Amino acid sequence: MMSGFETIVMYLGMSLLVVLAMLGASALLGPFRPRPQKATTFECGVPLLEPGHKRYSVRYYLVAVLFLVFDLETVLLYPLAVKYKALAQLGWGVFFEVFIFVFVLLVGLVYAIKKGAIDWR
Amino acid sequence: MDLYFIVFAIMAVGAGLFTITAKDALPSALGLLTVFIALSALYLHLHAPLIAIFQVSIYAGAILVLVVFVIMLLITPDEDLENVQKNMSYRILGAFLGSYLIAVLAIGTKGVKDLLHQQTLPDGFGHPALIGDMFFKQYLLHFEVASVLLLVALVAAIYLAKKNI
Amino acid sequence: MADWQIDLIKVVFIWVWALLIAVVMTWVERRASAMMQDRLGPNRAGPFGLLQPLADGIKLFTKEDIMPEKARKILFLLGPPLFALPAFSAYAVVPFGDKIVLGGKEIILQVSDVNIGFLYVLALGAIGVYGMVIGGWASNSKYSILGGLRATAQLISYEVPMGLALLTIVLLYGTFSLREMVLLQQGTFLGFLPNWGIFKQPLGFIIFLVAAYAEANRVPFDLPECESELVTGYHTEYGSMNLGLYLFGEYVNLGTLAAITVSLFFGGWTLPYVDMSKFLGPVAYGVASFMVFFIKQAFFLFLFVWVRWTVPRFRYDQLMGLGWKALIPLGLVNLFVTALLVQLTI
Repeated sequence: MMSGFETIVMYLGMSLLVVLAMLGASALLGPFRPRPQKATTFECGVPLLEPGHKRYSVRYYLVAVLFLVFDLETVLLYPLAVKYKALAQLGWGVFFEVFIFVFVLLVGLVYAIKKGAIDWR
Repeated sequence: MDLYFIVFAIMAVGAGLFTITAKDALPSALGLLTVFIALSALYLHLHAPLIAIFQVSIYAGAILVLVVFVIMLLITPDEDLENVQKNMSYRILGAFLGSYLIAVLAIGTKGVKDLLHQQTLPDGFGHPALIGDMFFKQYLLHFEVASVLLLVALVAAIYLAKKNI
Repeated sequence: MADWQIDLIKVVFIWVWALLIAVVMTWVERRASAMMQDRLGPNRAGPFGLLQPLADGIKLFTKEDIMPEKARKILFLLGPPLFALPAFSAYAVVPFGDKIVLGGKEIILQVSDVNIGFLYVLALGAIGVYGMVIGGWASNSKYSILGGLRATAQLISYEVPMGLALLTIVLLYGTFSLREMVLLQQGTFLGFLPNWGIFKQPLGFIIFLVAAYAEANRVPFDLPECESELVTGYHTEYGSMNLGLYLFGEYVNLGTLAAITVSLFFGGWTLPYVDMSKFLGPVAYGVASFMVFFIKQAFFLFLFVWVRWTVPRFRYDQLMGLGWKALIPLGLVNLFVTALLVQLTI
């Protein structure tokens, strides 16, 4: 096991324990008197007209794709960024490596904006 | 075999089985989330913290979000997937692809036995800086090609979704 | 004491401290809001209403667990813990102070100084999304689902500029460890400014701060739970401690974001121009560094409330537009400029 991660696992275990304890205590302390009126879905005092689940806009999907691409980009750049100062001493190579990588994706972002992938109307 | 490995390996396999047998799509996605987290814990055990973080932030954080959005986009809960699953050609295709994957894995893990004997890790193994070094020195072209690959994915997704906007 | 016992004490102490900050924050939020709106706010429970959070806690514990009839039962119950667990756990890598010497042992005031530092915080933030989207979906109410979808889309949109701002910081400091970053911020910059991240990365700081407000679902980016449109968003159908976990999780998130802001951009536990370790004893120094960090963090927590009553809410298309059309290009430009400057000054 890597040094330092045992304590993080300990911390996660603590969070899990407390969350379970909170839910358990709430279940024990709270009353239990179910009525059909209580179990209705929230609406302004009228019965529900239509089910909540509908198909939602494809734009959410596009945002997720865009996020996937740019998340991968930043994550791939992290190892390079942490080593950047050391590599920069060798010359301009690493700057152009980062530049080309980011520039290609900047083109993608411009394309996405121009095509209206994130225009919400 | 140590306890840590066994716990998370069982967690990964169990959650994986749940993922493919679950009746509903969203619980299945949650099963997949558990698989990713268990795998990430195993990567930590293998002295690869950066890969562990990638596993969570890319697979669990980005790819699975996409999956969940697609589920919400396409499936309403009263609708079921029975029709698709009963189709025989899907099953044959699934069996074929599954056995192909298992074959690839079997061939791929052949060399693992040699790795088991190597006990000492090279200096700074798994540290992010080392991976950054490799991105610059050994895998420069691969790194740049990755950005083009991402661009292609982006353009393709927008083109496909464009018809609906 | 064995090392693991010290670790356990640290874990429990910082966990309780994190929760305590969140609890007091609920009181600060209501009192400060009242102050800004020229009213009194909660003032009946205890002096200055200080016991109000306790009363709220008791209320949440003793309420009935209600489940809407149309809800997916298991998913509905999974939502709150799935949101609260990552939120509660993110404090583990925050450096709360330098070090303290107790009983001849040097103890670093941080749960764990791992070499991937804040990437851990980002990864936990990514998992926290599922708590919202699953909870919203399982409630089977249109407000909840819309809230969950909006929360997810907003969170992932603003994770990119945040990641870019952090990337620039990593490029500048050459480490992921938050403790090492704070240590690098000692001394002065250009002769008279404190050597803080904000003076080296002003643009990065603005991008980070805006993204932090969006990540925390705070005004002006509180669209997932804006009461005038979506009731309360993804936790509309929740009650009792299930709701409590969502609310607590949000306040703990605020604390984490404030702490990360302080340690990345405001020198963490260090004071500018003064080296506290020179004239304070080892124990006093540990306590003082802890207090300095807390005061800086408290300011950013208060800023969350301050901004809430200053800035109006965004519209959803404006929110998405700001993220993708302004912050991300700005973040990329910032990355280029920083890389160029580092290259030129090396």
